[in-house]
Amino acid sequence: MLDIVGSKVRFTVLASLAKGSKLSIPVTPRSVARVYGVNLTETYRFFRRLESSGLAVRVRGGYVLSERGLALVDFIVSTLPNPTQWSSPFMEWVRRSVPDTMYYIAYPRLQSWFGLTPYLIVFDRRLAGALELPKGIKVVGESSGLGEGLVLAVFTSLRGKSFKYSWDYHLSIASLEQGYSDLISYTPFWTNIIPDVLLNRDVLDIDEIFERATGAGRRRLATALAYYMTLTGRVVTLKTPFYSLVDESLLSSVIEMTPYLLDSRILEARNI
Amino acid sequence: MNGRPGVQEFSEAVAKEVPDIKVLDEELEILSRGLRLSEGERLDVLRMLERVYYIVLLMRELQDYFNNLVQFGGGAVLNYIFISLMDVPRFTFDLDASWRGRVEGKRRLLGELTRFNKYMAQKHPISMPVDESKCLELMVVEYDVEKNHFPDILSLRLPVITRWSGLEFYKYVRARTGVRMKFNLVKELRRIFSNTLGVRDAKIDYVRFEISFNKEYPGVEVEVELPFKLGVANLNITELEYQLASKIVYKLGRDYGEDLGYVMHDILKATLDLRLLEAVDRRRVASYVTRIAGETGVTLAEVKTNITTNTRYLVERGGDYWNNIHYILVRSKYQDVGGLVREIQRKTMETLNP
Repeated sequence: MLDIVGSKVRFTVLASLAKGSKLSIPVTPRSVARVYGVNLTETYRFFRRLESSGLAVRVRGGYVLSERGLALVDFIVSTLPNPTQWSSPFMEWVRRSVPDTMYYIAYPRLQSWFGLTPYLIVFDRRLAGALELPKGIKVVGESSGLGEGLVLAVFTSLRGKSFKYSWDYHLSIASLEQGYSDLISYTPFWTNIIPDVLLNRDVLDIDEIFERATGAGRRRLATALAYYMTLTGRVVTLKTPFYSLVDESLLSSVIEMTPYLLDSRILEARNI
Repeated sequence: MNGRPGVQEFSEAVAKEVPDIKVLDEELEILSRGLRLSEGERLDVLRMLERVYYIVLLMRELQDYFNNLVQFGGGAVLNYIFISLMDVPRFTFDLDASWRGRVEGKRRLLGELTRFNKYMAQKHPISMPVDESKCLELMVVEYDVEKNHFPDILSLRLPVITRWSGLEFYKYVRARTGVRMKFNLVKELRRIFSNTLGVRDAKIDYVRFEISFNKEYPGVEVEVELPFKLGVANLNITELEYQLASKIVYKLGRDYGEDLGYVMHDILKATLDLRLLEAVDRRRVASYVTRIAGETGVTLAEVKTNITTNTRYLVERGGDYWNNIHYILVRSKYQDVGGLVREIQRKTMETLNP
């Protein structure tokens, strides 16, 4: 569609309005400009142009497509790109059905273990009940086990969350720290995720992960960090006073991470 | 005084956690038992006592937190808790403990120490600012990467702030974290150290300690008054008689063969600790010696022969080791190492030949 409309601003506004209108949810120029990283003035201008041409109407909480505009929804959605790199049915569903300002995908971008990559889709909580999730995407806390292909979903407020639309994947993706804080906070496989954070602490802002995490996430990360420092004798400098967050009930789970934190030769040689 | 977050808290923590010179001075008076020390000797002892303070503090905290799960033994307990009641101690800077109860591998113990660290961080909070916003936690236990060679002994260390030993604080930060502290922060911290400790470039040193596990030693609980006015503690210790018997079999009465020349320091340490024979049930020591010797496959006669050989060698060649700073108080009291060693040997033999 980018080829047809000729500008990123037009593409983003039309795609957001089309997907939002399907769910009867208004979108705001500000959120579109922020998530897609496009010019805010241009975005406002195009919304107003659509409004003046009768394709969009201003409602409480943003804009939606008008009756005339709604006739274009299926066409707009059908032209949305579906890049082959991320061409799973789940991702395609997200691309075509969910406004990019109302979700983001968190995944361990610094994954240092072999195996499938788990994904967490963080939806705006206003979408709860409005979306019919495809079979296989499990909502955290609603059912045990993982979704097919390790895809989990959570509905929460997106206020203050850090994410951007990726023009490569055509999906909204969490920032590095936001992604890790969500994976640690919400998913049952947080013990697989934390070694990534600890072993890549040079390229991550661990204080920001603490700030962005939920209470549970902070306790998990603090307990793991305290164990890691005791286990390895390595020092991590932080502004977060994490020892007060250490949760003793999580220690057994944290100790199970040991093989992922130290070289197996050291573990064997020193009987750790 | 400063606007940097954490600096004021750090200043208060330094004043609270680092032992006051007065406390060290009073302990020096008690330990030196009226000995006349030169100004240089006094200063040397004072410097060592700063580290001893932390050893005793760590022992108290481990005991308070783990209660019946830990048991202490070794030179630090023998010298700072018991020998100091009857004679001058030799200095030692390691704390030895054993874990009561079975553990599978060190990671389980390290998990327990993570819990302990939470306790320490709350009871002795001391976070040193290293840049505009970040801090480095001190007085929490960590795995000792430079040691830890034995499968059933976990080597650990506790970084503490000192006046005299260790690395200058900014060098320590650079060595451990790679952060080069900005001059303004160094200046600010220097002012704090100067005001609270009386030294500009305070240092960070490690209190090293070891926890052995999966080996049971006979233990007793003793109520003791800790040095440095650190209060009264109910310490779980390895029975003194057992500790002395171990020193007799494993150190003083061991056959070192051609390696004897290399272990003089260990033999001298054990010999000095055996001064405690005066204060214990010597029949019980003898009985433990027989038991331990049996377990290690040596006879009592062999132990006695080795004691004679080793102490003779110590008297003849131990003079160099005698000059070590660890024996500064013992040396001041007993000028003649030979006489002291012969006297302890006589008592040891007497114990083994009741």
